[in-house]
Amino acid sequence: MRVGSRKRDCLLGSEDMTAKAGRRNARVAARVAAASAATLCTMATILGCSTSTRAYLDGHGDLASTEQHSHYVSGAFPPNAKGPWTFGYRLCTRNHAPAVTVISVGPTKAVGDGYRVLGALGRHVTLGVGDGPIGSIDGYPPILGNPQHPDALAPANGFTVSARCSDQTKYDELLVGWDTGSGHAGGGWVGINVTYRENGHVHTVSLPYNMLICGPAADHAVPGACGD
Amino acid sequence: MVHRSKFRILRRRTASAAVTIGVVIGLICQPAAAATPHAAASPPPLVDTSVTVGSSSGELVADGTLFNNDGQAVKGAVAVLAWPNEQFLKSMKPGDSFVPRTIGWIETDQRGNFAVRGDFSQLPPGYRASNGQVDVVLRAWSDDFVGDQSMSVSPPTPGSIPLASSATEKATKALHSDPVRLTVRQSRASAGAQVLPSEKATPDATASSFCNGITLIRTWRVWSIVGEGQTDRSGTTADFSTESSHSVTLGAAVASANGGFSASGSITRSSNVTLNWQPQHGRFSYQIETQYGEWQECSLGAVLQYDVRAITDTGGTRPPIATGSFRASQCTQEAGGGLTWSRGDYGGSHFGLSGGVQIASEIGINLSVDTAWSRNSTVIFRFQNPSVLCGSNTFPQNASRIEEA
Repeated sequence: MRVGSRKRDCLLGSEDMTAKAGRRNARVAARVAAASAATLCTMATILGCSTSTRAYLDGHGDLASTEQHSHYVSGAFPPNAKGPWTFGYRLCTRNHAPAVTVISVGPTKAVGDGYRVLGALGRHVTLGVGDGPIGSIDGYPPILGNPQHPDALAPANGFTVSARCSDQTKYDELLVGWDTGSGHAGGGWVGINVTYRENGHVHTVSLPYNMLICGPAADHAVPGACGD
Repeated sequence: MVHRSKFRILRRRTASAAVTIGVVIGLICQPAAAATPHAAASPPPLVDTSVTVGSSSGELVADGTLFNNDGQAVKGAVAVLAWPNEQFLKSMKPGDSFVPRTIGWIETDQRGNFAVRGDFSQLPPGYRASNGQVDVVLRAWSDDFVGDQSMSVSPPTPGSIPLASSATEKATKALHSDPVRLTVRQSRASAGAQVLPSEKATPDATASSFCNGITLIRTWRVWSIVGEGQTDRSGTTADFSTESSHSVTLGAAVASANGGFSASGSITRSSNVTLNWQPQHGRFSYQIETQYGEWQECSLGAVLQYDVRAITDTGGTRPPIATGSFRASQCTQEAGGGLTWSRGDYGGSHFGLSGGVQIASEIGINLSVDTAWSRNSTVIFRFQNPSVLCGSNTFPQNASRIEEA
């Protein structure tokens, strides 16, 4: 699924937000997440995408990635780099929660016009066997290193996250396809919202990851993420 | 009948006597009030066990278990001693001394478990730092041994909203969040040695022959590793930057009067250094300079032990120093093509290094560093070619240490 503009960053049911830019500290991140949730509900209703009733930061709810909401990881490609690529992020359950099902994936905040979102997939990884986790890799769908026993790739919409954050052998992974875009400002996603269903209730977690194409928009949104 | 009557009277008198004796015995054997623990072993010098902190007053400083040198849990007691704050310690010159403040103590149970409270409200000026932090030493003792563990805690400031939101939480939420394993490793019989061990042969000052308290005898400037960049493949560089007001937790050490030093906890200091190194290829550590001090603890002229701990950040930095690989194992693949991977923290796994304080030339061992990455502390890797990034204790996005494999 290829989308070419910020308005169509809604992936598999989630919606782009136009939350105001904020500083990269925990208090602002909380306000952004809360405002994003409110905006999400409103715009999702208008545009017919899934709604989320409870948005929280990583480490506060049952679906998590780093279990920490107060730090961030950025991956930024130069504007002249040749994609596509896949970014990978761990998804796991905590608090003894049951398996959850991903409904949609989208940005906490989208900036700029110099990027393209190619889609989202899910993958179950058995650590130590076959392919290891992906931070970023060439190609989308990802070109995995073990062609003899590739892990099965599934659409993110409907992907079941069953690995626990404490698990040492199982690792569930969200994979987002990425490429440069036609705009000249660079940009990307500042934070990743994952909306999921658990025991009949819908929640959204904001993960502290930034996916960027370097340019003025990326430099402004995440200073330093593209280096000096 | 008279005999039986006498017998009945005798039985009543005997019963009365038994009751009376029982009451007397009960009074004699009545345990002290719960708020006033009664130590089985006599406390070591400089510990004031007249201080009592009730189960519902003061703050729960730490809980944990007491062990002996063989790793077995032992019964004993634990006191909380408050040291002066960083500002006071900075002002000390060799020869200056102070007496630590006992702010609470407790006996362990039979299995060595303890939960010790401290009354911080009684601390006079000079103990609490401007950010509210108090540096304390948990001093434990059994019949024959003593042991210390240093830590920095942040009790509520007087008049502030309580840290805990309920009485139950106040009773159970310790200021030091992790349970403490406290080892009583120093023989109490070793106190009293008058001759300084060789590595302490040239102090800047020697405590007087009738010392009593804790005396600063010398200071050093020490380099501590607060970050690193570890790259291995062609086309990859790493750099590290940090801005002011990040905190560093630095190891402390203690030695008996005639023994060697061993690690005994750590204390936290703020660093106002701004660091911004350029991208490097290779394996480098980034270091800041800290002033460390050595103190001699005495009581009535007898040397008890020596303490080594950080005094203050000097603001000193130096260019990155080459370092070795630590062979991290939890790895993710990373694309090339000029990818910039960066991580900024004000949470997550701290950067931690067991021998990060480079002080072995002075005391025989290096001490630990634990850096709470600040909101302005960032490590950046740049990949021209596909690569693998690995974390020490978990995957790179959350690991304490990160290296390219």
